Amino acid sequence: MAEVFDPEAFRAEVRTFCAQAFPDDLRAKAATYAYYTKEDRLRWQRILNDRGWFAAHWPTAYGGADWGPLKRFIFIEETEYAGTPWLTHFGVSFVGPVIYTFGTEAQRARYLPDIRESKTWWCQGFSEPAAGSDLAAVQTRAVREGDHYIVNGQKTWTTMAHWADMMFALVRTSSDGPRQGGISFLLIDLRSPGVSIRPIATIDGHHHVNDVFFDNVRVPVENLVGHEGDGWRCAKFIVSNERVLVTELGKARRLFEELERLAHKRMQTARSAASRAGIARRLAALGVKLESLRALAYQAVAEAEAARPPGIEASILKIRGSELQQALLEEIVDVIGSGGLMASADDAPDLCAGLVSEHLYARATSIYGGSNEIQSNIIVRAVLAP
Amino acid sequence: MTASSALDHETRALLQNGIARFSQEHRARAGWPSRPDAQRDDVTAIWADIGRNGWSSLGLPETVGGSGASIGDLFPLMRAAGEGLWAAPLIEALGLAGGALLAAAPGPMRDALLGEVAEGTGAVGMVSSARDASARGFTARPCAAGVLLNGDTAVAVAGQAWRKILVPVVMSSTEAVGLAVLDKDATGVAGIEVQTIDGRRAVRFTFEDAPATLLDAGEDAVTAAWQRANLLAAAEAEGIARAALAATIAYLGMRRQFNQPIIAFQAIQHRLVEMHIRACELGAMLEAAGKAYDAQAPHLARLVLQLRAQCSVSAVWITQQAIQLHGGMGMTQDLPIGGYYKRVLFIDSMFGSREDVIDALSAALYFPKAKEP
Repeated sequence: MAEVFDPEAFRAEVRTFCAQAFPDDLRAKAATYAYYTKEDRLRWQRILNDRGWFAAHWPTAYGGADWGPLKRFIFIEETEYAGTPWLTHFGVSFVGPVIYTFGTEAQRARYLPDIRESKTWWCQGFSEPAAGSDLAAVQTRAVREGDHYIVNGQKTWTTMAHWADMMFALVRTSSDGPRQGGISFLLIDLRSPGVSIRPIATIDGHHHVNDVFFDNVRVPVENLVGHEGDGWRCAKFIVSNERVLVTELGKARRLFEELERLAHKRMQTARSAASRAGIARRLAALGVKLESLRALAYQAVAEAEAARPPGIEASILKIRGSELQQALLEEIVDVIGSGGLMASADDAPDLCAGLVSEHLYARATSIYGGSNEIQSNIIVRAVLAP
Repeated sequence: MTASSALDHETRALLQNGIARFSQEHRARAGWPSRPDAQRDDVTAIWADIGRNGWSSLGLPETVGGSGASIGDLFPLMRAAGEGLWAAPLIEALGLAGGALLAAAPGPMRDALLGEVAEGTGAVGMVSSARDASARGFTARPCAAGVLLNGDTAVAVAGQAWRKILVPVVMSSTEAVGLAVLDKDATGVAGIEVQTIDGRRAVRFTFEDAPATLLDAGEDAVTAAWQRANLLAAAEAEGIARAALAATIAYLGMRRQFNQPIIAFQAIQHRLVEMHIRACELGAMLEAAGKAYDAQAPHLARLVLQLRAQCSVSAVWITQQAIQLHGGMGMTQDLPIGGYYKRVLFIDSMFGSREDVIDALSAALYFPKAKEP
C-alpha cells in the first residue's frame, strides 16, 4: 500500500499487456467491431484473471489486489481502448462487491471465487415491463415459504441472460410502506425449474437482451443478500461503487480514432476543399467533447480516489458518455456513407457493418442503466438542493 | 476540485481574504445596477488596486519578486472576479504581459519588465492585433536604435493605465515572430479611447513607425501569453457561468406562474441540468488545462484551444439561457444577468472568434495528416 502509484507507468503496462496478450483472433474481431461470443469473452476474462487484473479492484481478502479507483479506471479505459471484450461487469463489478460488502460468509465463499474465475456468468434482474425508469415499481414477487422464496414475475431487457447461470434480482418481498423499502436483493439460479428465457431482437441485429419469466421458482432463503428490504440499498451501492464505469472513456477514444482514420480517407476523396475543411472542423468539435469527458471523468476519479462520498458525477458522466458515443457513431456512419449502411462498402465491408451495428446499439446507451432523462432528474435534486 | 497549488496554507488564506475584501469593496463601490458613470472610474487606480492586493506578483517566480503561485492558484481569484463582475482588468494585468515575459529569455530588460509587472503599478500591458487573432498583425523593421513598429491593435482594456506596451511582431526582413516593447508616449503611438460592450475603458492603439526594442523572445512567448490569458479568462467565465446559474435557480424558485414556482416544471429543470453540466465541463477542462500549463505538458497547446472552444459552448450558452429563463427580466439593466452575458461575449471575442479556434484546432490536428501520402 505504501508504494507510490505511477498512473502513466501503469497505463503503459496495460497497453503493453493488451498488445501482447490479446489473442489474435479476438483482435481481428475488435478491428471490425464484430460481436464477441460468450467463449471469446470468457477467454479474455480468464487471461486477465491469470494476470491478476480481472478482480483486482476487490479487497485482497476476497482475492483482489485492493486497487484504488484511479488504477481501476485506467485499467478499464485502456482495455476498452484496445477493443477487448466488455468485461461482464454484472459479476465482477456489480454483484461481487455487493456480496463481499453485504453478503454472508457462506455467500462470499460460494460465489466470489467463481466470479473471479469467470466460472459463473451473472446477469442483472432489475427492469420489468412496468418498472423501467421507475425502478421502485418492481412487481416480481418473492413470497417466503419455509426455507424458500417462491418467485413469480417477469424481468426484461436482461442483458446476456441467455448466457447466464445466475441472476441478482430486485424482488418485492413486501407491499407495505414506501415502495423502495419492500424490495429485496435475491440471487437466483437460472437453471431452477420455472425459469424461462425469451430473446428480444434489437435493432442492431444481435441478441443482447431477454425477457426472463419466473413461474413459482423456488429460491433458497440463504440466497437473500442482507435483510429483506435491503434491495434498494444494494442497487444504489452498485451505482455509487461504480460511479465512473459508465463513462466508457476508452471506448470513446477508440471510436474517435476510428473516426479520424475514416475521415482522413474521406477527406482525400472529398469533392471540395470546403468539404474537407467541414469534416476536419466537425472532428475538432468532437475532439473538444472528448477532452471535456476525459476531464470530467478524471475529476470524478480523483473524488473517488480521495474517498469523498459520491455526488452526481455518475449521472453527469452517464449523460455525457452516452451522448459522445452516439455523436461519434453518428459522424462515423455519415463518413462511411451509403456504401457502409448497405454493409457493402468496397474496401472494408466488415468494418462498416460492425460500425453500423455499433451505431445502432449505441442508441441504447442513453436508455439503459437509467435513461438520460432519469439521470437529469437525479442531477436536478442535487443542483436545487440548498 | 482545485488544481494543484504551489502556495503554502498561509498565503492561500491571505489570497482568500484579499478576494473577499476586494469583492466587498467592489460591490460597495459599483453596486448594482451599474452606475452610468462607472466607465469613468480611474483605470489607473483600479490597476494599482490589483498590485496593492499582491495579485500582480502572485503567479510570478520568486526571483522577480513574485509568490510562485501555480496558475491554478489564480483561478479562485478569477472566478470571484467573474461572479462579482469586477471591472478590474485581471486578464490583462495577470495574464498577457506576464505570460509573454515568463517565456522570454532572461536578461536585464526582460527581468526589469517582469519586476514592473510584479509591482503592478499598471506599467506593462500587451496588445494583440486588430487584423489577425494569431497576433501576426504588427510588422517591425530594423532601425538604428532598434525597430520601427506598424499596425493597429485590437481593444486594449485598461490601456489608459499603461506606460509600456508589449507587441508581438513579425520581422519584415525574416518573417520571424518576435516580441517588442515600446513606451506608450513614444512618437508614432496614437490611441483612441473606446468603451467595450461590458462597460470597460479601453484603448485602440495605432503604431506608425513607432520606435521599439526587441526582447529575446519568439513565437513561444507570444503563444505563452495567449495561453496564460486564456486560462485566466476561462476561470473568469466559469465564475460568471456559475453565478448566472445560481441567480437563475434563485429567480425560478421565486417567480410563480400557473399557480406554482416556475422551477417546478421539468422542462425548466432539465435546462438547468444542462447548464450545470456545461459549467462542470468548463471547470473540469480548466483544471486539466491548468495542470498541463504548470507542467508545460506537450498537449498544452491543444488543450488551451479546446478549453477556449469549451468556454463558448459552456459560458456563452449558459448566460444566454440565464436570460431566457429570467424572461423579460433577463433583458433589463436592473439585473446583473445581462452584465454576465456581455462580459462573457467580450471574453469570447478576446482571443479570436470561435471559428478561428475550431479552425486552428482542425488545422493543427488534421491538415498536416492530410498532406501525408
